[in-house]
Amino acid sequence: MIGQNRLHNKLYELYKRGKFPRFTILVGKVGSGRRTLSTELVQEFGKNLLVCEDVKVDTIRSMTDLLTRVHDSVLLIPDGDTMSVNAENSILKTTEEVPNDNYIIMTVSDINAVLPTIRSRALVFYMEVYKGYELEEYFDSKYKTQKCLVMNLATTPYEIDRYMKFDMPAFHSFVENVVDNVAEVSCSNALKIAQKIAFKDEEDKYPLDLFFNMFNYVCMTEMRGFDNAEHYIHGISITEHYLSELKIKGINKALLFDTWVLSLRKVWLS
Amino acid sequence: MGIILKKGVVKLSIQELKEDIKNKTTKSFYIFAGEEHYAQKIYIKKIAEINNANVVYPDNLSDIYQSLFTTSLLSMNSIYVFFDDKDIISNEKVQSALKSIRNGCVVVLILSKQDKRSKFYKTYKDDIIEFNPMDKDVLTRHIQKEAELSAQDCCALCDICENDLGRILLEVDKIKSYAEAKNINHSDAFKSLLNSKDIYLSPKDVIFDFIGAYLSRDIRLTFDLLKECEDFGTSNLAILSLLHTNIKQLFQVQVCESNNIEKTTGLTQWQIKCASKYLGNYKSGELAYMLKLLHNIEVNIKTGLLDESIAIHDFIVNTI
Repeated sequence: MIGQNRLHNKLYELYKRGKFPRFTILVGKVGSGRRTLSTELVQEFGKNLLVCEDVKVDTIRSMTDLLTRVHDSVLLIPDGDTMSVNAENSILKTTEEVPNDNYIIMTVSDINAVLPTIRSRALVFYMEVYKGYELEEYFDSKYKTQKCLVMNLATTPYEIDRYMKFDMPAFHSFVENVVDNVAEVSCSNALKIAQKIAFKDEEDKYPLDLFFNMFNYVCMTEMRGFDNAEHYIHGISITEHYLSELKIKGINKALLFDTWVLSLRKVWLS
Repeated sequence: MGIILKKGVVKLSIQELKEDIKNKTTKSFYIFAGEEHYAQKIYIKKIAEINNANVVYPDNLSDIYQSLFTTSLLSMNSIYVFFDDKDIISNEKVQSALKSIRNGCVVVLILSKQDKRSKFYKTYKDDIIEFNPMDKDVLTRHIQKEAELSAQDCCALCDICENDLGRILLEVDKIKSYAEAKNINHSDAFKSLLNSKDIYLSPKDVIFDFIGAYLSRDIRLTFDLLKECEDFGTSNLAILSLLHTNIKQLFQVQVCESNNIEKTTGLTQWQIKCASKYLGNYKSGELAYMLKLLHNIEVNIKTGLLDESIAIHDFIVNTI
């Protein structure tokens, strides 16, 4: 486990004092170590760990049913914010009064995507932001090159791994090219950028969220040596808006990207 | 394939069932399956006729179970028809008991679908009589017995009714009544009913035609085809996604100033050719607005602000 020491100690203390909540929600980015932290805590508590393999309503029902028949166990529900409303409703009663003195830990990336009725029954903890030296430590233990660029972009160890799948200088230069030319070329040419973006799981293309992050980073660096900083600030604010829309479940990423190109061109051309 | 449970399991085909009926030696239990329900009804009627029996449709087997085995002065011959009866399908004891029901009674089990993993199917798979839709030639002969229609018209009628004999005969009856009322021949009556849409046409997947009509800015056709898409059950999100792809391609081709469209837009020759058909129907600004509106509509659907059922209508009304 990298980092998260304060949160870990806080939760462990709560357990020692007998005040660890029966139902806990851990909020943090994908790959921020929510599952690892939960597993580690369960081991330290000396409890059995039950993990929901998926968040389909049938699985959730069978796991909550299992919870009524076992003792000294912790049910871990990963990615609870991706549950359907029916699945969320199926755990409402169990979360209100967890049976047999067991515990439930649910991990989520977006707390707003969880039903308020579920939220109100849990004690919510946020994963700590990774410190620079913690990420560097992780990076040094696995990789050797491209450290400077990746350290400026990644906020979790998982993100480091995602960035390192790509040739970072090439990725950076591609995004620089986009920043410099997206408002210069014709609209039909600008929409062609979509061909380099992965809207599904294409391995040879850049994931949309990483592309947006890299775009913001390039805008920030360009802004430093440029008089018209407003130009880039608008670019960053538009990109941030689309980054937040990217969190909507099942959103059409290709359409979102095209709209981003059009919005960006409209502002930058005016 | 069929089943005789009285004298041990023997495989039967529809042909053998016909012979049974011809020889007036029907069995005690039959299992029917398949889409041709009208033919099933005809055979049940025939079985009832030769047994001098009534056709009864009980809710479940337990309602009439006793009367299958006991004979009284008032007992009448009956053909009991069950649809997917769970007592018969799941209970092996009941299945074997049906081997020794009283004379004059026949049990017919109709399966709406065959679960190939079930024990019942594995046990009786060779004994199920399947009534599949008939060949067009056979259907044409049936139609021509009833009405004076050409082979071509018969073929068209078969296609419209998806080779369902029941539907075909209903439509033939309609044609005959119309022809008689209007004092015209059957062929003209068929054409007239077809033109006035009085012969029901099943909705087809017209999503690509709908997209074409929308990009051609043909308002009436767009709404007609949208209704057909809805009747067919096309997903609204699938329509939105296809609208996005086509509008984007049209936009890219329309605003491209270069001679080498393929290189500038990254589209294939075929995509460019398809998009070129609709050039100029919308202004470039309108196309850009459509893309943004599509995105907003999608976000609103996914966040629960807009009902999916009115989303496409909302989009078309605002853009066409």
